[in-house]
Amino acid sequence: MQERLQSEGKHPDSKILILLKDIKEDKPNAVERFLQEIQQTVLNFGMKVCGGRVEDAEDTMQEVLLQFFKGAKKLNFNDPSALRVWLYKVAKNACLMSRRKGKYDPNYIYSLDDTTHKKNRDDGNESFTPDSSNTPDKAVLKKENNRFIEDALQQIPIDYRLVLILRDMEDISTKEASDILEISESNVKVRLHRARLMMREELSKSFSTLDGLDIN
Amino acid sequence: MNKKLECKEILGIISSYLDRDIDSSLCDQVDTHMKDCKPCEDLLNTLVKTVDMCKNFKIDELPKDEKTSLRKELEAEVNAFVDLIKKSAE
Repeated sequence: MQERLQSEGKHPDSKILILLKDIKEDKPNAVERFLQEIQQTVLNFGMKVCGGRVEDAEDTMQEVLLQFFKGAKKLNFNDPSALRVWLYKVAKNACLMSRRKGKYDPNYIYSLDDTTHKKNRDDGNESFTPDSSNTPDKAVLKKENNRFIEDALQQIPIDYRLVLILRDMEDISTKEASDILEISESNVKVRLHRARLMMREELSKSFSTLDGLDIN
Repeated sequence: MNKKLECKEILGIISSYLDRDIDSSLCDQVDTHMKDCKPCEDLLNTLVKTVDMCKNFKIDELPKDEKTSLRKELEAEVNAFVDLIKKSAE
């Protein structure tokens, strides 16, 4: 079990550092690659938080980028963590604003969902390893699993969902999550604990077994 | 002598245990409890799987290599940012 335990402090800061170094050294397409990285991060995070489609997330992209670069100028460029915290803070605020405007109503996603997909879940016939006769390849299986995770995420209250996404999906440290969400580190830990249990509960509705183990 | 943990106590610290965010003696107590408690072991295993699934979860709809047409204001901010980065290297 030990090797499966999570450890703190595994940050993808090196990517940002490399991109910043490339900009400093005037390497080809360095700015474009940096922009691409920032946009992918914002889109990815926004879709996880809001459960929206790419088009919806893209609507707020320019505004998020504008806010990011305005604030980023005041930060220490040698501290990639500061840039990351600022980026996620801006992205989080944009997501919360969009939700308030009603664009990302969780029910919206359900109404667009494939009804067959939802119906199968209601039948309670699915497992963490879906019937291979219905899943021709790994890509289909992965896509289906991703949809279950997306659906499960949207059932978790936003304050908990944000912590779960930052800590378990975006590799953000407890300290950084605390700075992004403007809550204490102990509060981050408490919310993460509850969010993981809620996520487990939600996933157990879609998957009856997990590698042979009964999740219920 | 370590005291024996109750299942309820395990439930309260299982996420910290997963992150190795508890001291080693408490960690040992959890390990001991897990050996004799199938429900808690199952809880741990399914929670590990849940976290694994979260960590491996990727949005697969993102557009690739699509250049954003930057608005003028944003373009100015990006340029100012790039200038500052380059100056910081001097």
